[in-house]
Amino acid sequence: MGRYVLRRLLYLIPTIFLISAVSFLIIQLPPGSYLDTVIAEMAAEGRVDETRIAVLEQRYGLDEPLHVQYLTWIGGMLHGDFGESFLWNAPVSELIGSRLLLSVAISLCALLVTWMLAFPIGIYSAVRRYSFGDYAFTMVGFVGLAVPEFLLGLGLAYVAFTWFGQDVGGLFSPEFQDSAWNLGKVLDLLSNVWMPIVVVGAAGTAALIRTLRSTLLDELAKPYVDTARAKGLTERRLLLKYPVRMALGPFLSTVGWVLPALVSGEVVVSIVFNLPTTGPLLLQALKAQDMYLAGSFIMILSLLTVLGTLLSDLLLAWSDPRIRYGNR
Amino acid sequence: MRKADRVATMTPPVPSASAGPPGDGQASQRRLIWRRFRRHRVAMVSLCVLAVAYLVAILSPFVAPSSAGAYDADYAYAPPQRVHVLDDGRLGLYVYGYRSDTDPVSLARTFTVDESRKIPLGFFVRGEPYSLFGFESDVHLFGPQRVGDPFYLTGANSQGQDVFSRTLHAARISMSVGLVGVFLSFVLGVLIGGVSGFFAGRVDTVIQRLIEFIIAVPAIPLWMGLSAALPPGWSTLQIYFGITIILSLIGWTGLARVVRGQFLSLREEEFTVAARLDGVGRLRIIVRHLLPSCAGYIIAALTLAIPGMILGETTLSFLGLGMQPPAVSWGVLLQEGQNLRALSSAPWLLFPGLAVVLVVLAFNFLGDGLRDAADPYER
Amino acid sequence: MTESRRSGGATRRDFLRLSGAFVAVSAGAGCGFFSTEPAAPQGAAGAAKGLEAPALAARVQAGELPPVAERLPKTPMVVTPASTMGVYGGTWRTALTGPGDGFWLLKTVGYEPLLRWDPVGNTVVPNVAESFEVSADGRTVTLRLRSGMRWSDGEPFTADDLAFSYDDVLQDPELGGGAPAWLRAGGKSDGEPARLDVVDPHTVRLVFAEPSGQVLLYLANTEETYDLMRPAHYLRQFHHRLGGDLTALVAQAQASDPVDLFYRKASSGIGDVVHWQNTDLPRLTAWMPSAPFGQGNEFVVERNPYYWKTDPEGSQLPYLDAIRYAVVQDNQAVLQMALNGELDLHQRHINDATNKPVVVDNEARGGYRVYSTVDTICNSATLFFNQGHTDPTLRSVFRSKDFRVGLSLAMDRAEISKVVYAGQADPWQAAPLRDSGYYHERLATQFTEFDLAQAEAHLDRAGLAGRDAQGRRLGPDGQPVTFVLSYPLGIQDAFAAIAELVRGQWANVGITVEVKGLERSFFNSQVGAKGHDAYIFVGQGGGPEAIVNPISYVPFAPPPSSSAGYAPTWAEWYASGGAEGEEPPEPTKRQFALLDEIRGTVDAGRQKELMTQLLDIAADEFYVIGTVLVRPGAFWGVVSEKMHNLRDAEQTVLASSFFPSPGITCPEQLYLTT
Repeated sequence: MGRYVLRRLLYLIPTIFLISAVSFLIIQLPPGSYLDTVIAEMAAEGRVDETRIAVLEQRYGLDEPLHVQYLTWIGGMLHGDFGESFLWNAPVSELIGSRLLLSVAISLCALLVTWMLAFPIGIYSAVRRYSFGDYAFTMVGFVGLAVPEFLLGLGLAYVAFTWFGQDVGGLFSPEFQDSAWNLGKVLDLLSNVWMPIVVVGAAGTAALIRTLRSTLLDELAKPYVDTARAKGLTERRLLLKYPVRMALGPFLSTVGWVLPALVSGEVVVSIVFNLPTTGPLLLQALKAQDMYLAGSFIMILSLLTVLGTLLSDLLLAWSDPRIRYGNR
Repeated sequence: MRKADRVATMTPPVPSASAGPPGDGQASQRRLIWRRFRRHRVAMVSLCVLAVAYLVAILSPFVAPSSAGAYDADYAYAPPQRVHVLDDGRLGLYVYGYRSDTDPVSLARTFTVDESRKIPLGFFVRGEPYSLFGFESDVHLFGPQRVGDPFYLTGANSQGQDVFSRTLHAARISMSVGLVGVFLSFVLGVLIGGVSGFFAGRVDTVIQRLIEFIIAVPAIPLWMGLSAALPPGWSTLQIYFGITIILSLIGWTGLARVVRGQFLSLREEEFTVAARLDGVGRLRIIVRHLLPSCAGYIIAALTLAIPGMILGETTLSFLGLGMQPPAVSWGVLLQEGQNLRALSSAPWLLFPGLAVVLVVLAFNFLGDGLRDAADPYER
Repeated sequence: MTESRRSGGATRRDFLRLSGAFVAVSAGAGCGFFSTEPAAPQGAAGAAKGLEAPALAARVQAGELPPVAERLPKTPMVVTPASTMGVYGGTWRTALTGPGDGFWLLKTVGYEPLLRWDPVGNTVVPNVAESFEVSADGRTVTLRLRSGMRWSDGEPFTADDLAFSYDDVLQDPELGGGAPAWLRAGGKSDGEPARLDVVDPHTVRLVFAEPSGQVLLYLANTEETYDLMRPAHYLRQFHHRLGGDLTALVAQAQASDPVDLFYRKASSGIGDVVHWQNTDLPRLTAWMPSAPFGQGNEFVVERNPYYWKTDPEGSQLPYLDAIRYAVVQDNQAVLQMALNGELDLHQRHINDATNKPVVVDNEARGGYRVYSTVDTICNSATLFFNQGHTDPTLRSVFRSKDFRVGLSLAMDRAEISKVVYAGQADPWQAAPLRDSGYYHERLATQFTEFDLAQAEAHLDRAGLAGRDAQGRRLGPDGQPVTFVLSYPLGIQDAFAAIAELVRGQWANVGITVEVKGLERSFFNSQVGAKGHDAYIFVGQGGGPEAIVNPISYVPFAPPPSSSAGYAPTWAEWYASGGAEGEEPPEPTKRQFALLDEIRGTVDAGRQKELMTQLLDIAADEFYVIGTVLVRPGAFWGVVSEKMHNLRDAEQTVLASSFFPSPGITCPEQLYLTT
């Protein structure tokens, strides 16, 4: 096990460098640069101030060759400096940091809701296969999977706005924006934040139910279940002892990807509900060709995915003795 | 256990198909799967729905009452019309015309049903000319009997274009994005996954690292980054393929893992060993023996990958990174409907969303049915 | 926190005390944690009016600030409120869509030039400068500053600031780009730069070798005059020549070099996000940032205690305590805020015809009303053909006036108005507005009729008589004439619809175009590189600013200034004094001469005559095709029922880059009631 972990850690090093190169490449692909965004902004207003553009060009070092820009960036990253955002004129780490808490909070809430719903339903669906409940949950789950996130979000927002007269968007209603923290403000926050959580959770729940159900069904059909049943184990013990544990495999193999998902801030939902998470920040950076912000962001997310994969594999190894012993 | 197999077990456990290659004297694997699949009623219905949907998409110029670009400013934001079946007690399809009014301050249009104006509908009516498979025609499956009468089954958009017709036309791009994307994923996934699984050893390790790497770049930012990177100078068709490739770039890795897992277990099966001892070439073994054995799985996995691509297309459009008008896709159409203006006064602009949900739902059910059918443990 | 809030709180406490000892003490003033009522917001409006805001009076009492009389200049600028005297207090709530949205900051807080437009955009009146005077020969412009006027940090604002800004920044070879054309002899970019003489601490004189005709108009422009009003006392320490050894400061600010350091402190202009991040930077505006932009989801500017304007009763302005900009993701979020009634005054992001119905519908619910603005554009969507195209065939086709006239006649403008602008637009070429003072009937109305027969005749005459089997017209090279009609995404939804309509209308006369929406930055870099065929953009210069920025009538400014994309090579020729680009034909050269003359002429009447001649040639040449001009009301803003003194009752609000609205309407005299 130890050697296996070590080997996986060693693999990380070249992967990270490859990722940094790809991240940089992605943000360099579109023609033009951030300056064109500035010019476009000015042109939309009807006046282009060329003095300012010259100042900016010099300040951002955009006239330097590509590999120099890459080396500067990756060099800074080794010191924990993710570069500076042109758009915000602020360090990337500060920008992402200031939005991280909310992103993590929303994703985490959604995740907990997802798990709390999906596990019991998934197990129920598999055990009571083809029952009315199974059909109902399957149906709901499939519809949840089929509705695009933004449509679900817009629909909820619209219903809340027109039928319940609720102010949609943001975290607080305007009257509580400046209020000191009290119960009202907490309730107000909850009344605003449930919608994004539902939307984020919907597709995830449906998908997880499906996965659990199908893998559990595979397990239940295996001979060892019959053996166990023949030995007189109670249904509950029988179910929880092995099949459920085995059925967690696919779940565990992707659970590590929760890590980047927590940070990426659910772009679509955040835009629909106007939440100041990290997602829209990335979208804005990509569109404005704010290269260090976009690049570092993609880089961080990729890193977390790699770490998440590692975490998953370790969890999997821990839960499945076959893997553990295979690696002795 | 050998090194390669160790890595194999790291992937999600996939039930191995123990069925042999198509043999003589008994039902082939394909027929077994088909027999099981037919029992899955929802999946069968979904298959029919999808067949109809693709047929409509292909024949959209004929099926849709009007062309994708046709507009009539008099009917901007006209609400859906109700189709009446009985005309004075006799069978006869018709809708009523509109009376419209513009508010001088808010510039909002209000429509009321004009019961004095009956617009008779019919099947195989003459309308706008179009060309389909090189044939020129002006016969439409259904529509108003008099050319130019307003006919908005599901309402009109800001330019007075027929949302229903546009939804049908858009199916061409949106539904083929899924197919083309999945085809690309399939080629990549089967090729690379197959090679990885069959040769195992060092080749397998390298490919596994590659797949891990691609998975490591998170999907949505990768989509966003790549679509933002599509050269704006590209034509609509190029952008279309660009987006498809981006969508499939993510899809193939999952498929490759499935295929590899299958191959790794099948490689040790007796029929493979037998074929090898017979002196059959490796490629032939893959194509002739291994692929058919896990075809069921692959097809199921493919079917389940299509909805992701259709949804991906709409999401990219939502983020402003997908196709742009004048291209007509479901994502592009939904762009018109994804604002409060539309939601509050013209919710019918979200009609293409229904089409998306229907098709995605059908694909999911179909894929689910196929997976169940391909599962050898299913008794 | 205002006086009223405190007294209000006291009353409530008294009430609680009276109502008995049974009441749980934790309820406090209704602000306890278990209260579900919103706690009182900051700066509630409705304070009794004195000579200064109550909060400032309190700071004076505490000894933190000098008395108001010492903070104001000897002769403050007196602003007459649009309708009634205001009261102090309140926060103006509005929105920004991110750091790239600096223009809204400029338009709300930033409009504080040396001179200013009167609120209706007719004449230039004093602002920062107390008075101005142009000598009879037009060579000398004297500006008198306000004695005793102070920067927001309390330091005096004097002629020294202007001298520093002009001599040590703008004309510094490393820091600035040199004097702009309007500060040079004859108003020409190659003219000798004007001399800035400091007569006394409150008087400066701009001395030109040759008169610069438009200097007063430019002095009424925020961005241009900001380059003349940098705070010398603060910025000297960061100046590479005057600041001594900057090594430590450069390192501390993480700047790459002294020039970078200077701009990190000084900002490159009001639209630059740095300007709103450096809270140490002294300002002259009515409000100033209390925390750097970028921290959190909102950006707040608060009252400048040294603001130098009063109302007629001598009360220091501004009335409003602060402006709060919610920083949101996109325009949809702004629209949502408007519907929720969360915007007190806003005329950006969402203010087009598309959104108007839903916003008007929600007036009662949101507690706001919609007012009309007049954008001083010369055309809502102008079609520009690249007459400097590198492809010889397209270049020769685009240069044919008959080609452009034919296409103009082939367009059904009534249909465009109906489909795109709900009928609220009229056929119009790219021409100055009727009330602009430069209205030119022929330029505005020629070739706007829809006449397919005439259109065909003109196109035939343009040498495109030949047709292929599909009816497409053949160019001089024997190939069908096709080109790309592009438009920038995210500026106006109307562009896409117009492009589609025009494509269909032109197909009727045998001209095929491919329509393509391009991401804004790519659009601009393509136009900048002269790589475009034809594009749609707003026509600039429709109001009184036409004489300053006649870009739609004479191609004087080369790209990236996107409106000159119809003749980029001629513009380069003019801008480089004939060194680069391509020599234009005679009529255009004559226009350039007229433009030079206008810029060197001080007399307004003579300027107007010359402008008419310039527009005559523009009408003859017909460089660009206009589509339609929206009627007043197609663009609008929302104002809360609680916000008062917005000058729109008798006069619609002008809006453009020259008339940064609502800045031009004096936001300092706006006030809120509860």
